[in-house]
Amino acid sequence: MMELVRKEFIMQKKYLWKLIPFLAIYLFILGENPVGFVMLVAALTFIFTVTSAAYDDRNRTDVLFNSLPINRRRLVAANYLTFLIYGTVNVILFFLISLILDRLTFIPFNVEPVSWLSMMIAVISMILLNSLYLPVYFKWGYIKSRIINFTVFLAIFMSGTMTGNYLQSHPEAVAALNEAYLRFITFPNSIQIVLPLVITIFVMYLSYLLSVIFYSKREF
Amino acid sequence: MEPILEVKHLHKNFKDFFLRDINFTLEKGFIMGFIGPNGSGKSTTIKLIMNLLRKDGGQIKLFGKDHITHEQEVKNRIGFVYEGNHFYDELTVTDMKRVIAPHYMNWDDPVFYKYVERFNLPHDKKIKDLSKGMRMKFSLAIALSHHAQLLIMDEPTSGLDPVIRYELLEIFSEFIQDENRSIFFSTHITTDLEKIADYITFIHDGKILFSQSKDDILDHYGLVKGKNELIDDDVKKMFVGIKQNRFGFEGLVINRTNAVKTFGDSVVIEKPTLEDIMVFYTRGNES
Repeated sequence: MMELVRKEFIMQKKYLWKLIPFLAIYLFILGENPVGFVMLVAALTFIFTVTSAAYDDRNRTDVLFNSLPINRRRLVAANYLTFLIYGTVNVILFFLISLILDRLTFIPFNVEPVSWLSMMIAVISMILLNSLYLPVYFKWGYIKSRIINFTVFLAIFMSGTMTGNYLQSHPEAVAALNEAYLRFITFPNSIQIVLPLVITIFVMYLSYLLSVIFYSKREF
Repeated sequence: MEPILEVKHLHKNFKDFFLRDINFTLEKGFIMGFIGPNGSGKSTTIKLIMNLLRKDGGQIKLFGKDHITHEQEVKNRIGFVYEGNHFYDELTVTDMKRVIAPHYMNWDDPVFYKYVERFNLPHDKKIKDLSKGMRMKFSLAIALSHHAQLLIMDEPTSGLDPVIRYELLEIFSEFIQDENRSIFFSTHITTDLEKIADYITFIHDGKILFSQSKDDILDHYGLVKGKNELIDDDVKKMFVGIKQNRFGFEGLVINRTNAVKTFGDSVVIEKPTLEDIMVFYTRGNES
């Protein structure tokens, strides 16, 4: 399995070398802010996954890997393991760079180190985004997955606006949401952290099962 | 001794094409050429053997074992070469080897580098910068570096110049020196098969027309040439295919001895080439 993960890193090594300066410049210019951090980790990991899919599609390597003595379940699992590792690398790098920048006294401003909460939200977003994408990719391949992705993201964006409009005209819904939120934050800290993580891992597992089903039926 | 490759009653249905009841067997120690016109089902059959396509019926056994139940095990013993590029073109020869090698239980780095040297493959060149011949050699170097017992190749010599083709055929002959090994390969270039194949399997329109030893085919088939007056509807039935023009006819018969009995000295009967056989089977009767 790790050989397959290593393959993704060999493929994208030229981008990996640019990651550290990119994160450093990002932090230096924009400073640490939780939303930016979460979005950046999720987006970078997602881009890594999609780039890898694009390479496979362009070189028709599905034919190669399915002719090697590797079963399809492992090929699928390697994709999930890859984004988990790459996402973790991103979080750690971001954390370390923010820590280093924070300690550098010649910088005329403070860079706050990344908080644990931001890290958790980043990991959850990264997992959900990739878990949404991979079954689509394994079912329809890279080209079609791009169209479907675009449609899904457009739908999410539009539903965001529509939800906003709905909430504006329905104060009772806002009240209900507030109440739910208030109830949630009364939960012990451990549940506040564990519950979203458990749900995320469950979603990822479902996504993996779907991907395995789809990919085992693919023909090349 | 069990065959190295056994295909029985293989079926595959597509919207506009069917592979019907494919049967053939390849024993250890032999080279089988798989011929047929474009779109006849050669690549489909190879993809079914490699489980890149799912079969709709029939059985495929490699080394006496089902190709799906024992997929990992049998694929460890197969070297494959496909037409076209399936490697990451951005990677160098060495990097691509690093991606593939760990998946084979018996990968042998010294053997790989022996072929790299023999083929003059540049280690640090990217796949996309290799010529078509070089890519094919790289593909072959990969296929030969894990002590495979069966080479499965789809059009390995197509589009290559005669010098490189000759070099590849030499490698195939060397590979087969070990009597536990076999080669199954599809090709359009029938002259390559005349040089090295032991068996010929001919597929046309999704059906196997014959799967026989090359010597049997070339010894028994006959290319008959004569005057048009000799041909009537009954005589035509003797021929696999016949071509007529105002100067006379040329036709392929399965049994040369029978043709001699029928026509005597009134015709010229020659040994056909594999290309003649392929053309007559494919085109049938035409005037």
